[in-house]
Amino acid sequence: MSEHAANLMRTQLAKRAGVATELIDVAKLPIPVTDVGEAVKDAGFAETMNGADALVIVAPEYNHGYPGLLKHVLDTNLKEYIHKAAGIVGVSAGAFGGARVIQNLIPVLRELGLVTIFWDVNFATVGSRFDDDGNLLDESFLPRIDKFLDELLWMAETLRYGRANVTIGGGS
Amino acid sequence: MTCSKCGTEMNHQADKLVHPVTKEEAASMTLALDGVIEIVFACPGCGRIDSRRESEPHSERS
Repeated sequence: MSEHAANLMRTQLAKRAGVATELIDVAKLPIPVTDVGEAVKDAGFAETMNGADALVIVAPEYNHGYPGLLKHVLDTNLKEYIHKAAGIVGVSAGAFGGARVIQNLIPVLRELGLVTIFWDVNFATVGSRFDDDGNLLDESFLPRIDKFLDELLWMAETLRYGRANVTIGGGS
Repeated sequence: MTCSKCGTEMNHQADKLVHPVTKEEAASMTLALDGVIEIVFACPGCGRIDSRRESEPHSERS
């Protein structure tokens, strides 16, 4: 069900002018589990992260936390994330819409150098939000997604300028 | 640092504390910081990100 949410987010993001998007399924990345961190970095994924200005992380909630595979994949990069925008979409079968996975992911993203936005999207009772083909059944989600994307793109543009033009510590 | 993709001089945009995960990193870590500094650069021309480790703790900025 998270895949439907991810596809919806990508579709809405792709409607924005000047935005190129890519949907990445962490389960399909060729990253081994025999080690962790940058030791198992995948060159293709790293290149995508290097070129990205922002991430939308669509995360299902398992036992109040994030899937281990998501953390494993995120841990394979570092410099590629620094001072880039990140927004989180929580997904759950229950009533809380992934609120707890979002709260648990925020400190991880902060340590990775990502800058989290203050809007979230929460897909509670996700089983009833999409039909079998992945079409959204409740359009009341769209205004919130718009606000989420407005903030994400503002942060992405601002941070892109900052990365390129503002030197840390004011030095040269 | 010069961008490996387009040759533009890169901007020193961040000093990120990295906690050691290997013996080599642990050997070079600064106890006061509990880690090593990753100096991160961004290219004003193409946006590429690159980095290098700080050789000495709290040294001058590159």
